[in-house]
Amino acid sequence: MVKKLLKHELIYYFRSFILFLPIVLLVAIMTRVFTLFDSENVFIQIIRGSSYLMLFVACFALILMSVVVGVVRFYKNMYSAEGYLTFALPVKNSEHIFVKLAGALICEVICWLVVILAVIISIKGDMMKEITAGISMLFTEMGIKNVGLFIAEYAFAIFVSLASTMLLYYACITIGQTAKKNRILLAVGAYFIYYAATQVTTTIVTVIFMMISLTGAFDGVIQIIENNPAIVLHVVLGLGAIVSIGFGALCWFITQKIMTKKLNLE
Amino acid sequence: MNWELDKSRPICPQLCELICVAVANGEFSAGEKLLSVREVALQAGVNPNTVQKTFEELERKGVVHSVRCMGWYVNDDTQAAVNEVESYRIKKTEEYLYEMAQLGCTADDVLKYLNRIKEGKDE
Amino acid sequence: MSELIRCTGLTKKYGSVLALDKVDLAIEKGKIIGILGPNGSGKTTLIKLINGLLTPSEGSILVNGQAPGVETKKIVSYLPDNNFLPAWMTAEQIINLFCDFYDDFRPELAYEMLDRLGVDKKTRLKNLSKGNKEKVCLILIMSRNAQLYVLDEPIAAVDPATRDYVISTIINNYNPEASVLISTHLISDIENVLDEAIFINKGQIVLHKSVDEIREENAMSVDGLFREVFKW
Repeated sequence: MVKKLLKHELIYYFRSFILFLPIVLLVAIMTRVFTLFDSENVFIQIIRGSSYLMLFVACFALILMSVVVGVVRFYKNMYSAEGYLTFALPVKNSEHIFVKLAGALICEVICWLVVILAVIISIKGDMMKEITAGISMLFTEMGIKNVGLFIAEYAFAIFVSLASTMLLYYACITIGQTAKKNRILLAVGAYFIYYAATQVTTTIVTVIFMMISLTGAFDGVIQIIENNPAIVLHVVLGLGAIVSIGFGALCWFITQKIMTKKLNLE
Repeated sequence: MNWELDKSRPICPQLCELICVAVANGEFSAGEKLLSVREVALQAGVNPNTVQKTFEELERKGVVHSVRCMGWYVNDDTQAAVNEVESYRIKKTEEYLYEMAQLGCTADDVLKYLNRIKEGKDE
Repeated sequence: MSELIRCTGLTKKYGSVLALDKVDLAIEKGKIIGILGPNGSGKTTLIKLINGLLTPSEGSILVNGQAPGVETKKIVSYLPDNNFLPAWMTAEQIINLFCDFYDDFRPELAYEMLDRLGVDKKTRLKNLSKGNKEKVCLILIMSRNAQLYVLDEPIAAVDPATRDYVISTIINNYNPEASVLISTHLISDIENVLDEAIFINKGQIVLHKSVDEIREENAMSVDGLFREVFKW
């Protein structure tokens, strides 16, 4: 069932993005072509600049779209009139949530890969060499020996963060469904409450940490960090991933609970 | 076959009537195979269960019989159907006389009206 | 077991509003049953409970002996009272979707009915006329070989000729192992096809009798009795 469900999700995303992805790549290629005309001509420089700008906008729009489409798909397919079709399928709620998340993530990952590809395409050969050299130097200075591992950790942390953010949106939308009227308003409200809560908590925790560090309790730790900066990165990424996974699980639980007990389609 | 039904009366007896009348006046011949339950249900726009009940009731009355795996057939002897139609006629006439009584007519008055109309038709 | 639906003390509250009040109801196999009641009577709530779109506040509801869930959705074919099919899909795509998820779906039957109605399987639903959209919805639901069909207002939004088509489809599809539950306002059009009628008002079952019994006992149609019972 899950495979079939996922198939239909991917069909939907394919339909939505089939035009946009090639366009972004074309803009990247076009930008690259413009870099071939190395000239002092102001006119050409303006065109080059505009092309870069267009590429930036296109990439930004693509990423934004991947998130928005993922959220809208969830809402429309689960809680609008289509919900009557969705919930009539002999599928568990947990399977619905899983497939919606998987589809959205696959779409986001593909969009990110296309953006990265577009950026790489658009950068001139020697400029690319400069950038890679600069990044290698940065890694060495930070004490990162295994670049591959670092990139993998970083990508994993981002992936997990994308997943937990999407689950957060699902949870907010689902919380919104518990109201009789103005369901979207309540969903947005739920998100604001989450946002405010995290801002406040982060500020308080940061202040507490700073105050404690003034007492010198952290001096030992700071020594270790100065000697081995790579450790900080690993710890931060690792902790970040764990927190994201935990938070994502909480959002999933909330979504599923409300979906099962409090569902009331209009 | 006109399957017009009166919504204020139960369907089953009405279907029985219609079929008996059709058998009595030869629209369905003796021994002929009747339409299937589903076909009657579709044509009359009624529930197949009701048609099934109708056929079973008609079998009880001796108008039709079922042949296993083949369907329903009009009995060779159509007398039962004729008798049923006769009882409908009597009932209808009683109902008519009752209605005319509501208009203030006695049975004799009704006869007078009937004769008048009959003469009008003969002229 | 011959009971397809069994409600025991079924109650549903939305906050302080009592939508269904300790409803006891049994629906048997092989029947075509009408659920008739004014707006807000609890019809829709009952239907949603049968389909697992709501959970009971108190009491229980069993469909073929089980609580509404994945297993019951395999045997219940539900036609909601709205445009529940994605407008961007074609009839063909939706038939494929139904084939994927419902083992009891009969695509040949669906295509045959679409053909007879002259609906192009490759046209997107949003480009069909309203009447044709309704027909496609009905065709899909009735093409399943389900044990329980739940039709919510199947004839309200269509012209009289289409109503006849809907009724013929229901009769044609009749199977003594399955039941059809029809919720509607248009009682007069549909009462000849009903085995039983259930009157529901303010969350309670007011009447549950066979149509012939109703007509015999009251010397009027079910529609007539409804108007009497629900007079303002």
